[in-house]
Parts: sequence; C-alpha cells; structure tokens
Amino acid sequence: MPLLERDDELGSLLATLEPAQGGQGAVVLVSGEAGIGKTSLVRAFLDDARGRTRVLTGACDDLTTPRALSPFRDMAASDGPLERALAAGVSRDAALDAVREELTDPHRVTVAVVEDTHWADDATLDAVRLLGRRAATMRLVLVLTYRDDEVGREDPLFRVLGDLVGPHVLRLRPARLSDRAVAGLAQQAGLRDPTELVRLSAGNPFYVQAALADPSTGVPLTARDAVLARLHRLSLGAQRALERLAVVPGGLDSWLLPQVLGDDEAALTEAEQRGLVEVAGPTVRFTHELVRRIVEEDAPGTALVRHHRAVADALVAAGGDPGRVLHHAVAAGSLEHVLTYGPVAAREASRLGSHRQALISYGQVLAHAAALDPPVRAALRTEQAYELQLAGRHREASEAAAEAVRDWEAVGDAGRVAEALLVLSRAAYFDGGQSAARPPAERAASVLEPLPPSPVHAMALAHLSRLDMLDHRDEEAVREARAAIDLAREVGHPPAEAGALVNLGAALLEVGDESGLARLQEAADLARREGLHETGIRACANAGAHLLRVPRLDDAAGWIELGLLLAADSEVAYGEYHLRDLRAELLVRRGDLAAAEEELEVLADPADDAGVARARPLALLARVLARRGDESATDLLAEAREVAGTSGELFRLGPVLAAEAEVAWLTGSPPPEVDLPGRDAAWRWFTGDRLFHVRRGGRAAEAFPGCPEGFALDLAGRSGESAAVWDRVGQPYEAALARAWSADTDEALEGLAALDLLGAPAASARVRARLRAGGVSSVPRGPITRTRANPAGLTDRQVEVLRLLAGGLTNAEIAERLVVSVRTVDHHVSAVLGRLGVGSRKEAAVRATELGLAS
Amino acid sequence: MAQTIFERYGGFSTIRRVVSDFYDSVLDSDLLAHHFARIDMRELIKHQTAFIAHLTGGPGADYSDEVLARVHKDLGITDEEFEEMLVLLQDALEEHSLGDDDVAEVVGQFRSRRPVIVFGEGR
Repeated sequence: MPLLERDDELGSLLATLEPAQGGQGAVVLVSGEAGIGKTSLVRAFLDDARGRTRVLTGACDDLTTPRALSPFRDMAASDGPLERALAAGVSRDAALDAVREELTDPHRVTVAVVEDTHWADDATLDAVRLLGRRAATMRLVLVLTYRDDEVGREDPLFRVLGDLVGPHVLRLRPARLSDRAVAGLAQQAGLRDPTELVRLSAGNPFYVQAALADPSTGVPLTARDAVLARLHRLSLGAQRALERLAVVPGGLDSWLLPQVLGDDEAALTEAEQRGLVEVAGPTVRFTHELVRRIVEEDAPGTALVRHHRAVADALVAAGGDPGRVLHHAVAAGSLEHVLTYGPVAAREASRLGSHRQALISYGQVLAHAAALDPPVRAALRTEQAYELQLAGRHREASEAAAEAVRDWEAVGDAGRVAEALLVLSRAAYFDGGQSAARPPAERAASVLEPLPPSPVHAMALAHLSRLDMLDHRDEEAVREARAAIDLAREVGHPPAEAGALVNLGAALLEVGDESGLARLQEAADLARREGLHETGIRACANAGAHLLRVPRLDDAAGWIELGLLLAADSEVAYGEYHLRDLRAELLVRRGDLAAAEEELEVLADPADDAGVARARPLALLARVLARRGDESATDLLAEAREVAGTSGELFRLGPVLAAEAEVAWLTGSPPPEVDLPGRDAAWRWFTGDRLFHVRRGGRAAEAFPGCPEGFALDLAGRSGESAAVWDRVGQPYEAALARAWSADTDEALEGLAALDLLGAPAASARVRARLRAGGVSSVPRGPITRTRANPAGLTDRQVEVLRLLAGGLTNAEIAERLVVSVRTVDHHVSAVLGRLGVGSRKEAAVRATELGLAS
Repeated sequence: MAQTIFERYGGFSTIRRVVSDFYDSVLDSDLLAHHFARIDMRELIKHQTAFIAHLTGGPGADYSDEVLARVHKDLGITDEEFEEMLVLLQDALEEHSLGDDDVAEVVGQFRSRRPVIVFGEGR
C-alpha cells in the first residue's frame, strides 16, 4: 500500500537531517494508535535518509521482562562500544555512556529509531532521556515511536517524553486517513462499494491494508476478521508455524527457526508471500505487531504453553537472552529454566538500572522460594528487598528483608545477616519511622562488632549516624559518623565514607558548627569522583536546606542548582523532588511569586505521587495564591495539613503552620494559637515565620530563643531594623511587610508601595485597610495590578497560554512555542479552565474571544 | 586550611555574577556570539557556575577533558575565539574585584584546557 497523506510528517522528518549534519540534532516523537502507520512513516523516512546517513534501528518488545537496553542492543555493532561494555558487565552509568558512544559517528549523521517505546525497559528510558536532552548538540536524529493509547499518565514513559523540551524536539502524530484517500484505495482495488470500507476502517491504515489484502472476499467487519481470513486460507503447516511464531514478540532469529518450527519451517514462505510475515535482518517476524497479537489470541491456550516451552528450550540451547528465556519459561511453567535464568535476568536488569524489570524477575523466581537453596534464596531476597525499597514499596521491602535476615541466620553467615538488617532498617524507616528502623540498625552494629573490620560495618555505622541525625540526636550522629568515616577509610569503602560525611556535615551544622559545610563539600567531591550520584545529591540538598535557614540565599541557590545539575547529568531522579521543593521555597523567599507558583503547581500535583513530601509545596502554594487573593488557597492549605499530619514529622509540619498563620491573616480569619518552637533550625525558621504572620493577624507574639533575626526584630516592634535585615538577606516581601508595620507613616507607605510592586494584591489590600483604620489619610488607591488588568484574573503567562489554546494549538504545541514542558502547560491549562469556570478547551476559547484575548 | 578562592570572594553569589556578566559580554562579542545562537543560556550558566565553583575550590561539578572535548568537538571554535573568551573571562573576574593572582589562576585553568576546546581552523 502506498504511503498516503503523510507528506507533512515526512517533510518534517527529512528537515531534521541538515541541522543534524551541523551538530544540531533532533528528537522526533511519533505517536498514535496501533495501526495508524507510525512504522510506515518511519520506513519511508529511512528509505530517503539511508544513503546520506548511518541508520540504526531497534525495537522494544512486549515481554514481561524485556532485557535492559534491548533496542540499543539491536543497534549495537558487533564488538562496538556497547557490546563490549555489556560483555564486561559494566554498571548503569558506563552502559549509558556506551550507548551514547554507539550512537555517535564523527563523520555522518546517525539516525537511530526506537520502535514501540511504550514497552521500553527502565534502562532504555534512562538512555532515551539522556539522548533526548543531548541530541540538540549531537549529530543525531533520534526517532521514537509509541502508542499513546498505551501510555497512561502514571506510566514512566509519559514522564520521560513529557519532560523533553526544546526547539530540537519534534512531535508527530499521524492522523487517520481521510475518507477520500480510503475511497481512492478501495476503488483502485476494485471494490464495488468503497463507502463500506470508508465506514468500517475509520481511516485506520492497518485495517485498510488488511481488508484490501484480499479484496475478492469483500470487506471484513474488523481488521481481526481480515487477518484471520487470510490465516485460515494458508496450508495447515503454515498455520502451525505462524501459531508458534506468534508467541515470540519481536520475532525470532532465523537460525532458531528449525528448533522452534521443525518441519513446518518451509511453510513460512507461504505466509511471507501472503504478506503476514517478513524477514528483517536476522529476524523473521510478523509484518505488524497487531497481526502477531491476532494470531496469538486465536490459538488455544494449551498450544501456547507448548510453544512457549519449545521457544524457551531453543533459546536455552542457543545461549539466548536471559530475559527472553524467562518470559517463555514463565509462560510455559518450566520451573528449571525459571530458577536458572531468573536470577541472571534480575541481576543484569538491576545492575543496568532496569528496576521495574528486575523486580518482576525477582518476583518470578521467588514465587518458587521453596525450590531454592537457602543461601541462594537469602541472597535473592536481600536483592529483592533493596529493589523494592528503590521502588518506594517500603512495606514489601521490609517483609522481604525480614525473610532474608531469617534465611541468612539459618545459613549462619553473620556478615550477610547484618547486611540484610541494614536493608530492613532503611525500608522500615520509610514504612514505620525511627521506632521501626532503629532496632535492626542497632542489631546490625552489634552483630558486626566482634567481626573483623568490614565495609558492611562501616555502612552500619553510617546508617546509624543518619538515623540519629534525622532524630536530632546530633552529638551521637557526629560520633557515629566519625567512626564510620574512619572505618570506611580503613577498609577502603567510599560509599560508606561519603554517606557518613553527609551525616557528619548535616549534624555539625545543626549544632551550629559551620565546618559542617566543608564536610558536605568533601562528601560531594568524593561522591563525584566515585560516581555516587545519590550521596552527592544528598550533600547538596542538606547544604541548600541549611543555607536557606542561615539565611544565605545565594549560596543556598548555588548548592540547590548544583544538586539539580548532578541529578540531571547523571540521569538520577533521586532527591530531585526535594531539591525542586527547596528551589521553590527560594523563589518564594526572593519574592519571585509568579515563577514560584509555576513550579509549585507542578510539585503539588497529586499525579506526581510524592506522598507526604507534597505537604511543603502545597503549603507554599497556598501562601503564594493567598497573596494574590486566590480563594483556592484555603482548600490547598487544608490538604497540606492533612498530608503533613499523616507523617507526624516536624520538618513537614513547620511550613504548614507558618502557611496557616499567613493565610489566616490574608483571608481575614482569626490568627492561630501560638505554641512552642521545636528543636531544629528548620522548625525555628518556620516558627519565626509563623509568629511574624500571627502578629500581622493582630495577636501579640514574642520572639523565642534562637528566633531568626529578621522575625525577632519585627516581633520586638523594631520594624526598620527588621526590614534592613530582610533587604540584606534578599527577601523583599518580608521587608515590605516589616516596613508596613512601622510607626513611621512614610516608611509604612514605602512598604505598601513595595508590596504593590511584588504583585501581592491581597497583602496590599490588608495593609491599606490597616493604615486607613489607623488614621493614615494619605493611603494611595494603589496601582492597577497586573492581575486586575486581565478581567478574568489570569496571570500574564496564563493569558499567553489561553491565546495559544484559543488559536487551536495542542498542549504539546503550546509547550514547544513557550519552550516549557508539556506537564507545565497541562497545569496552566487546567488553571485557566478553573479560573474561567469552564469545563472544556472549546468553552475556554469562546470565553477568550468574549474577553477580547483571542485574535 | 587556607581559604579557597571560592570562599575568599563570597562563594556562589560572586561566582554566579561573574559567570552571568561573562556571558553578557560573550553575547555582545561579534566574534563569539554566533556559537550561542541555539544554546539554552540558563542551562549553560548553571553548568559554568558549577564548573568555576569547582575550579576555585568550592562545591561544584568537574568536567573531564573527555567530556569537554565531546561537547566542543563539533563547534569549530578557533584559537582566536578562544583567546577572546579568555580576555572576556579575565575582565569579568577583575570586575568582581578578584586579586591578580586569583584571576591568573582561574584564567590559567581555562587556558590549560585549550586542546579540548579548540577544534576549529584558525583564520
């Protein structure tokens, strides 16, 4: 079938080649429903590009445990960088570097196509994220095809693709064929009634092709009918061969055909002539994944089990990919293969960062726990617990680790018992807090005490110091961290050393010893040299959080940006949420309320699944919105309170209480009761913050020992001095509010003017009313603020989004236009719909016209 | 332990301002501006701040010669352009009152990386 109605898409694809030649590559996302013609479009592009470029192709397969980096394995040259790296058993970072090297050719543009990305394993997604960002400065055109009807919002692929932003990102979504095009094809094929094909196909090219493959039989009701009609007209041998081939997603290497198909192999030729299978490189596969699925679904279940067993045996005999063996062995119930290949697949996936796939494999093996030797089972359970914890499934991680502890005890290996206890303690901390985490950690330390110095012992001490640091037992934390560092250096274990340095630095800062910052830098440097990304990020977050409380905002910003940079450069998501949360606080404190609101909307989105961590962004967002006079602030605050309440941690409650005081003042509610400050610097900060606003609400409040200076001066009624502190710190909103409370009318009016400039109309209104009530007659009516200039109360950015939306652009197109992520646009659009009180984009466009905002 | 350059001049706030002033003058330079036409300057400033923070003994990011070579290889930066860049960097450092020795130290660090930055043909 010819490629119809794809000229624009093809043109866009081809237009990427010339800039790519100059080192300005592109990422092209081709999405759409199954059968819409994504692959056909890409093939047409490749046919044109092939002579001028280096073309590499790979596919993700619909396996329960796809092998880590499988599409890039397809692309890898024999004895190339990736093949060598994987054969050497390297870890994730080195494998990602090898992927990038594999896709780099100094002389030509590389066109790399990853098909069916919706089935990608986690390591492939890491590579896609990395390449997607770097392609802008590479001689690379990376093409990704995926079915968007298979990608939910919670799917990791959605996040990876949604975060791809920039002029080098191209999104193509081939449309359904027009009625005219389908009718034209029907006529060419000699169909008597073309309208029937038009109606039944709904413009889906796969259906059209299937229906027209044998027009003599009339138009089938569904694509499935068409495929099955063709299948059942084949010889029995060919049908048997296809049924077996159908259990192998992605197709079968041709040298395995004799083992799997036996005498029926020759019959495949018939199927090829009928256009049901094709030979692509070394692989024999169905012409379309949908054909495979239809054939598979048509086969009886018992036959499928038999076929899976045959494929598993053939793959084992040929020394094939462990993930593939496992997929078929599980489907066939071949216990022996599951027990042999499951651990191999799980460990490889874990090493390369395919965490979801590793967990599936561990689960498949451990489903047969009784059949495993105790030491093997204990090791697998420890590893499974570790992966579960990484995935945030802390309860299950605790359970797996507890079983591992019992297993190692039975085996009688004290060192491994302690190792499992540490995994248990980490998981238990997240599941049940200090009280659950401490006993196993202490037990691990005492088990290790009589043993010779070991890395595990250093890890145990480092972990204990972290627990103590988190529990504000700073002296103990310092002592344990120092012991951990000494031991780690003695046995040469940088991960324990770097981790303990972070705990030491954070604990020192908490007791007022500024040398803690130098320890954090030492930790960050060591982490960088050793590739310990998460520890480096943790050092940055601790330093940033501390500097926010000193407060030294510029230095806090430096550390926070550094942490985000480390996370981005290493493609590690760990700690990113916390760092962005800190950055949002920084924006609020610097008075950049619009930018803060944009960031906080994303962080507070329940779809982000941040759990209790959402409490802080919710509380901050409530404050920012309340300053604008947005009524949703109260609801957000209630939600923040609820989320924070579930954790019971002061770290999360402090910001919520401060927000309650400010929102109460801004909405004219009575100020909340005042209670005593807690122990740490963050608590002291937010308590000062809280009292500052309690005072604004008209309730007397006094500073407490350790109250941050700017708040303390204000509470003591020394407005001018307080404002000067806030000026020096760089917090204009607090400076303006301090001035506004001055007994000196001129200074108070100066504070009001500053508030107007900051775009905090609700705060301005409160201050105006207070001054008038206090008898100040010269209070200006105030400038028309930006928000009031837009009749619907939209921000400038929201107006911009609304204009583009009214112009018929999709969110993806708006994102490209504004050079922001699609997720950000999603948030703007829902905010705009909410603000306009409409339920759909169409209504929003109508309202935009009424408001004179649309052209 | 002697204070690092990073600490002596006020940490991130100074480095950030140096880098931001430096790129302002780079974008004003007829010789250099064309290299940055399609570059996300905000990202670049973050990377460069982290790099200079590291070079001055502060917390930061270290970019190996291999990495620097990879990102500069296709840019065709010439010797003349590289020299211009050093001059603008020196100006920016001096404007923020770094002492002569400290300016020389930082500029020297950049100069030593010439082989992994300059890949273009001189005119």
